[in-house]
Amino acid sequence: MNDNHILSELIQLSAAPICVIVNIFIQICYARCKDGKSYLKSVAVGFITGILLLTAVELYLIFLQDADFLNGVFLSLTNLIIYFLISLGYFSFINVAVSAIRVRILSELSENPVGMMENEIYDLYNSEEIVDKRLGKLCNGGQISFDGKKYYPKISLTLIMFIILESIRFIVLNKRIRFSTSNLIIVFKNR
Amino acid sequence: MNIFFSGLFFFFTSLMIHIAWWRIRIPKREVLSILIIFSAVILTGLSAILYFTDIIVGDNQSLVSSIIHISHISFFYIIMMTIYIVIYTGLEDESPSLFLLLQILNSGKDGIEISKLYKSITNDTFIGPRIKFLIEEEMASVKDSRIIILSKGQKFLNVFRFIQNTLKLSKISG
Repeated sequence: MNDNHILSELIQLSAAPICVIVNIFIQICYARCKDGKSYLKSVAVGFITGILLLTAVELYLIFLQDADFLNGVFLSLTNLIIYFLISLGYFSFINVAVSAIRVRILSELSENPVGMMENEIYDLYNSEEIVDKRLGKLCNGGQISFDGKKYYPKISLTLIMFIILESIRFIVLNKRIRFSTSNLIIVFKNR
Repeated sequence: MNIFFSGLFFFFTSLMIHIAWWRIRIPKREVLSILIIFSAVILTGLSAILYFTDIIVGDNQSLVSSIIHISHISFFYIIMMTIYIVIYTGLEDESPSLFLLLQILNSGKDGIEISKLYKSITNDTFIGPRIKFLIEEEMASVKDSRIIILSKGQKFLNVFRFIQNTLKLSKISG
């Protein structure tokens, strides 16, 4: 065991968190440069920058350091998972500021120090606005398709996420799966 | 390699215990119970690793290397646990986007019109329960049938206003 080996292990331990910090920094800079108009793009740019940096560090450690190849590959895989999970947590957190209903209600209440009746809140923020905003985001992000009259499901990241969440709900909470599997098969067949 | 497999082994062991417990009875304080299960598993696991230290690093490895290994396993595990808890708490609250996706998916190849989607979601589906939550969590209260924001709610809002300002996002969320 030499100092280089210890240094290499320390780099492995800190690589993912450092790359997440780079991810967040780049994301904030990009969002501010674009005046917050490309929020999702800023998230993607930050994420990609961080993962490229992490991949470069991991490749350096695997190929240029005198280390066990297989061990290096699994350490890199561990760090990539850590990076992905912290980034997911960060995205979930900042997404609350973008789309959380609770934040919107609190914001409306904060603007009205005398308080608001429940129907006054609904005048400012209601289910139709929720539907419009979400459908707009899903359509623009290519998560569903729209032919001018009707909305159709399609294979997308959101759909996969939805299936995962429904599966967790079924496995852990023992709640029935709410989507029709035959419709899901049709979506996959018509991809 | 040991870090990867140890982390995953501890995580899936915790998950199995958690699922088995939930199948018998869902505890009242769910998140706290999950934290107890996950903490107990990692503490037991790390104790076992420390006891049989040669499994991880070998007898002739330095103490520093062992500490780094243990830290890496713990870090990997804690991150997986935290994200699992975030996802788990999200299962309780219905997400409007995923609810819409469910309606669209269940419409199949016939598709669904926006009027039907409007009908599937009322103010009581998402906004009503959130107002109730804010009151229960003492972020808001009802005074003379008017809902007012409390200091806890204002502090909660300030955190997200800070994010909105930092990222120059629209102040109108939701």
